[in-house]
Amino acid sequence: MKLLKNRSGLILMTLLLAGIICDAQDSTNEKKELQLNITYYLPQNNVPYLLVTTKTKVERKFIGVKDLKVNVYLNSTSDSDLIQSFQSNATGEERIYIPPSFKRVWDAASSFTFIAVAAANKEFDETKGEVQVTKAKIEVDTSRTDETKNVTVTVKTLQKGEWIPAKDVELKIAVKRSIGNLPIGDEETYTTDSTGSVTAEFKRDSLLGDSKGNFILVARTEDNETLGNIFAEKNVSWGVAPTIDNSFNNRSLWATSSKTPIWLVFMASSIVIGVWGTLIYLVFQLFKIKKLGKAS
Amino acid sequence: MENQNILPADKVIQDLLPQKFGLRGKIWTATLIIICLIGAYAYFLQLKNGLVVTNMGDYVSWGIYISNFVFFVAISLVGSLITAIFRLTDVKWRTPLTRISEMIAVSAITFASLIIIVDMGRPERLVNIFAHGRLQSPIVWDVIVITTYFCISLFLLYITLLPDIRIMIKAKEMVGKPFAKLYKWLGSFWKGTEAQEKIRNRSITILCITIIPVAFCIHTVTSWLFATTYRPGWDSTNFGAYFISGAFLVGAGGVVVAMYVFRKVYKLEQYITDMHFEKMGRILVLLALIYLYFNVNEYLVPAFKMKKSEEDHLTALFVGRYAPLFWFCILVGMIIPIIISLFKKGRRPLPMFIAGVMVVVGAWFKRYLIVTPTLLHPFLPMHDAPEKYKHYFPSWQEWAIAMGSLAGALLIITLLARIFPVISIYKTLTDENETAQK
Repeated sequence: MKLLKNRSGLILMTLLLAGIICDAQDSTNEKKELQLNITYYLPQNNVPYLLVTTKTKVERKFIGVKDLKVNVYLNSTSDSDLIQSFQSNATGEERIYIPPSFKRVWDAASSFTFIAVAAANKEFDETKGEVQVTKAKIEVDTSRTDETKNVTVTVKTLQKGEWIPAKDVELKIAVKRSIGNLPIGDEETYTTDSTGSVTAEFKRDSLLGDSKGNFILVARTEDNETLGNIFAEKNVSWGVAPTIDNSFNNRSLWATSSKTPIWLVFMASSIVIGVWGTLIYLVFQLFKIKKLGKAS
Repeated sequence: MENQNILPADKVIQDLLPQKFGLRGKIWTATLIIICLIGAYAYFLQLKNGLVVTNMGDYVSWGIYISNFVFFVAISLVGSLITAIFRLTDVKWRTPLTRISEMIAVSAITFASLIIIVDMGRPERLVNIFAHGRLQSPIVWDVIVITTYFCISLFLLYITLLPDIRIMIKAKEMVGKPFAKLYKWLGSFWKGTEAQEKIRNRSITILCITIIPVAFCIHTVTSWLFATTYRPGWDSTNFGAYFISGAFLVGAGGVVVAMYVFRKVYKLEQYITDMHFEKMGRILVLLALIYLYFNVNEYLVPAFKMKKSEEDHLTALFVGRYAPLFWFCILVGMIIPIIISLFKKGRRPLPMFIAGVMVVVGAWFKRYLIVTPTLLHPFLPMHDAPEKYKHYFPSWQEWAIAMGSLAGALLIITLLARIFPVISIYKTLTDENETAQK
């Protein structure tokens, strides 16, 4: 009976251990989730490009996944529609341009689907990402009256070979600065009307420009569902040219010794010369006393 | 002198000629030399190992050395107070005090100059102040003004000594051989002719006029070293006047102490009389009241506002870790001496001596309080600073050097008193003659 009790305990422990080991094996075999994003960009109505990102979540943070084979296709995943194949780098970001061989396909249609496929590996299953884009163009125009400066942005989309005004497109209109973009007015975003246009008042008076007072206005869509990220820029001379402060090389209280303010040099020298002049005079008087003593 | 008793010239000369050290004098001098040597050894260690031997750091970069420097500069101002101001205002009873104050001034300013070099980790770089110094920097003004004040003080001591040197050369039997050559080298040309006397008198007057603004400059500039630095406790437009009033007080206290000691040691009761203590007592009360007034201004006004940025500093002084020292300085350095000197009985020699000692000791610690607590309470909080940066207590090397410098200053006064008369013989005789003629 005692033996049976011991054996049943042993069996129970073995089962528990086996369960733990199996569970551990399952968790090691579990693959991580890959985020494969594909974003469309059209800068200045010029050459479009795609930004493909491979990311995964590690300790509540998204980090780039490297050494992942990714194929990018146009419209379908057939080999003939393969735009580019690449191995992801450490940043998990890759910029892709549409090759000239796709010109005929590109010119013939007005909307496309871009598909990215990441091949499966030890860590990730095969993952697919896609984005649908309609061809569009964006234009920035400016006008100025005595008191106001306006920025007009027009967005048009290509439909059946014709450029049609794009209604209800949300835009950001800003001034390009060193670190980020500064909205031109109080509104964060602007929406186009039925003519595909929106006019915004420029309210950033006395904004610092370049050496000639120029700065760049930028109008852009951000992750628009059909248009992607399209943006246009315009150089305007609405800024204030910076006045360079050259006082560093002037005479000042915080300058080097050779740049001492004249008034200080004058005052200090006057005091020093006055006092030391007196002392030197007194030394001469002492010599005079000495001379008088020798003479007597 | 007191009660208009006219003393014979021979007695005056005999009484006032420098005297050889007795046993007490020798022990005193030996003690000072030993303290100086310990200080010199500590300084040797500092030179060898660098300022790391001190407890100064990133926050308290001015420690006991700069406190000591300010103290020396302050006490050196006594030369301008007693000699110059009293002479120009024709204070008749000044004669027994002028030489003492000039000796204190010379010794104090000598060690003020030396202690500032000690504070430098690399003393050989002092030359850079002259080579690359910026006239815009208060440090440069300080170097200029200290050098100038040192020269003026030395010159004033020397030129007032000339007639006494002649007397000492004449009385070589009484003085003894040791310094005969020195006297000859220093003043054998002085014959006391009318022309010489005229030039000497004019020179002393010019020096007295010159030394007053220079003395004001020296301590104002020292105060500006602090006031031009944006820190709690130093951010004051009143600092120049505050420092000068404190300097005159400690100078007067120092003279009172020296008067008492010289009177006792050299038995000069007939020359440094109770009347001198009575007069100096009145001056001490006035100066202490003025300094107390400035202290009230310096502490009460910021305390009334209690700005957040200054709160830690003020709290540390009033009720915090520096409170015992702060209240010691206020009470012992000012209020008790005022109370003592307010009463006629308090203006007698011994109470005045005690009041003088209190003023000098209180003044030394007051300078410590001006420097250290402020540096430990910067406007920007101490973030991520090592714990030892947040406290300061001088290392033994710092104490040894500071005490060595104080002993050095006393040694200079002692040696000057051994070589030269502590009271002008010539001026005393002149005063006696004037009194007799009346």
